Amino acid sequence: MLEAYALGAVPPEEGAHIEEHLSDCLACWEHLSESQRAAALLALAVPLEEPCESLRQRIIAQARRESEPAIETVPRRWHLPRLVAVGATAVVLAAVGALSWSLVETRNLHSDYHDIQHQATANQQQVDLTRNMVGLLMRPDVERQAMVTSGIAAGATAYYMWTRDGKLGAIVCHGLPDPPEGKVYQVWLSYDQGPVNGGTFTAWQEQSQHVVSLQGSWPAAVGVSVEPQGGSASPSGEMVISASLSPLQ
Amino acid sequence: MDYPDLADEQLMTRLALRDIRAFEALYDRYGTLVYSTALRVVGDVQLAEDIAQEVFLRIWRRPDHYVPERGRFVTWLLSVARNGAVDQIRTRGRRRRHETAGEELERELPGDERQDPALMAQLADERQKVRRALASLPPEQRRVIEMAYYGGYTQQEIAEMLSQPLGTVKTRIRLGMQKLRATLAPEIGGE
Repeated sequence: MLEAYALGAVPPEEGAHIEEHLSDCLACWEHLSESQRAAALLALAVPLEEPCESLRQRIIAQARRESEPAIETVPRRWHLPRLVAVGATAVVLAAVGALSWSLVETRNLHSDYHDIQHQATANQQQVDLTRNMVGLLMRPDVERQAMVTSGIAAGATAYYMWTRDGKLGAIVCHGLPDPPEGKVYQVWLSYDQGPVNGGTFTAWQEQSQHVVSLQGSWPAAVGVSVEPQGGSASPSGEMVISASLSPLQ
Repeated sequence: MDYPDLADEQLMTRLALRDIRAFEALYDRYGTLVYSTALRVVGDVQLAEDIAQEVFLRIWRRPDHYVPERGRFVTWLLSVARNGAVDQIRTRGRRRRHETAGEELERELPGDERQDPALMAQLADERQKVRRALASLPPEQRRVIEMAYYGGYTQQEIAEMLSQPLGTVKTRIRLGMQKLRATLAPEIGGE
């Protein structure tokens, strides 16, 4: 079944069951990962057909058009002073969450230093996420609960896992679409004092995992809203994924 | 900076910097493969162009969607193209004739003086290995795998189309994929 799943040959409902099983089974996860890598290689075997040259021109022209507003709409507070020596106009740092690269937007200042710095940060985030997910799955005291989806996430399945010691939680989604342009998914943990930011994440090929630190106590509810890139201080949109959590016995 | 000499991951990093020349280099490197993948699935030139355009603009808009730790850029990119094409035929109900590997024309990546010859040679070598691995499968296993991957059919649909029991189709997919994994182990390990 994992081979068929890797080929995309199982219907969504079966895919959701497989996804659920994978969260508890590292061996299957590894098996699937190998099958997915084998399946991905199949695209290399297609007979080659040259696209027309006008396709290249259309794509590059559209990319150029789309890049201009992105630079012009950079919030003023992010602009750095003009650097005459290098002619740089602006540098934008945008943190896009534990599953994502850290992005740097700039018009002219493309220094290798920033490349390396941000790659290192993104790599470390990925390592931390993987370590936390594996750590969570290996724990014998993991609780799990299905989450309710609505709005943009209506077609997705999601569940929330957390450790009984109240230190780690994770949201695992299947079939979650990309957030709209310029938006991210943001996790909120509901405590007595109000919602606490649980970090941002994006979807990756309609699958996503996000680990949150629970700071020693479990929240009454967990929700996910769609927020502007970089996240919000408090929820500004509807909760598209949510779950009320029962107190532990 | 000589963009054709940069690794895919370096070009993607520059994409995050909105570097249009890095974007051009990625298109020159993989435009034909992305378009060909889409065309293989949908069998329609116009639709394949639309899919290729959407795939490349998607990585331009959201380069952060590629996570190097999850695998090589080229296989991720082609997976995005294949999945986008399958979504299209599922949405439109369009199906193309499913050729077997033996029916397809053997063509290689076009020589392009803008690209690093070593990288293009490596890609050509990988393509050859995957094609050989597919061709080495028993025909009935190869067929169901091609129908699933290039056609976007589910196991149930394949069983109905081939008038075979669902269990038979499942077994063929499982055995075929196991053989592919074994044959392509060096390439998979290099992911």
